Amino acid sequence: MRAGPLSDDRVLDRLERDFVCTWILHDDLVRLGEGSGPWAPIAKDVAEAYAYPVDSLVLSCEGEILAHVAANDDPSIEGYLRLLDAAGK
Amino acid sequence: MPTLLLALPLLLQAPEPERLSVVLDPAASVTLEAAWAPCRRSKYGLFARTEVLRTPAPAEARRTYPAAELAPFLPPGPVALGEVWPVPREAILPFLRQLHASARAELEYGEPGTFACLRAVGPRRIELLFRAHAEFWLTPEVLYRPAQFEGRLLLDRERGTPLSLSIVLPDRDTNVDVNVRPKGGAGGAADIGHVPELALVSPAPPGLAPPWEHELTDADARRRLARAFYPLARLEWLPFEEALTRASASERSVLVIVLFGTLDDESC
Repeated sequence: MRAGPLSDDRVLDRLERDFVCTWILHDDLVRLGEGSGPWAPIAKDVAEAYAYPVDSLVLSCEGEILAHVAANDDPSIEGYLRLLDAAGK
Repeated sequence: MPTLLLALPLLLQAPEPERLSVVLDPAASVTLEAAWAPCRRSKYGLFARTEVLRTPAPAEARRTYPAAELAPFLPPGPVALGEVWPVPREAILPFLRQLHASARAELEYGEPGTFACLRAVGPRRIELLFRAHAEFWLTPEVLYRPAQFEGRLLLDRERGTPLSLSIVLPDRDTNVDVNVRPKGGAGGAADIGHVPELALVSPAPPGLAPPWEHELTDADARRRLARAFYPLARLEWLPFEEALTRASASERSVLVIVLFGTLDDESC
């Protein structure tokens, strides 16, 4: 994915303009979801929605999961742009 | 008056940053001591089940390198603080062969290369930070893929004597990916783990707390090096909780990438 969608200027420009970006290790996400912090419920939801091995998820500004795509399912740039479109729906 | 107005943009331009020539004493040398710890924890236990991964050991505990081995890491001309330049990717190999003879700069997969950055300048010393991607075939079946190697070279500014050098795998969980393939067969198994020490370090001479005149933080220099490898590093990547807080405050959507290794290195 680093050499695919995340190297494409259209994807990066869109992310830079419209998104707050984060990455997290799966184990850390699970730990966070099991905790009692303010973001634990969202971490738990993301961990439950996670698809092996590398998953990209679009969340609303309130933390609702709008769409996700696993790197193995659709590694294409067009597929990634469609994923980001979910934020506008 | 018109002349003054025309000159104003020139007056407002930032001054050109000072560019420095980095020199190396051709008669100098540097000695490195090697350390290689076993994996502390891995996702699937493959490190513990594979003999060559259980008790790794450097090929040579101590080795001295002539200046000629360091020369390729220097910039080809004068550079400004924070400037990044490419280093021939094979330059790292003589050093990594102290760890294992199989070190190679062509990667089975991933982003190969080495880049260096002028991180700090003082009246008497300068420091280069560099980042190299390389891998090892520990046996014909076992591929060992460190996330990256970070190098730090401290030089006497005037004489070009290397005062210290370290080349280390950053200690973080997770930082090594392995692939174990069956003898003569297809398929195989993969794992990712935390190796707390994989390093080549020169014994530091005493009194090395350099007063810098100009410096980048390590974090800034690392970001510049990461950007040389990965276009995605141009984005701001926040910790998960901070990203959700900012998204809520700015009413922007969030992209979350969930994975087993660091996004901006070769461990995943």
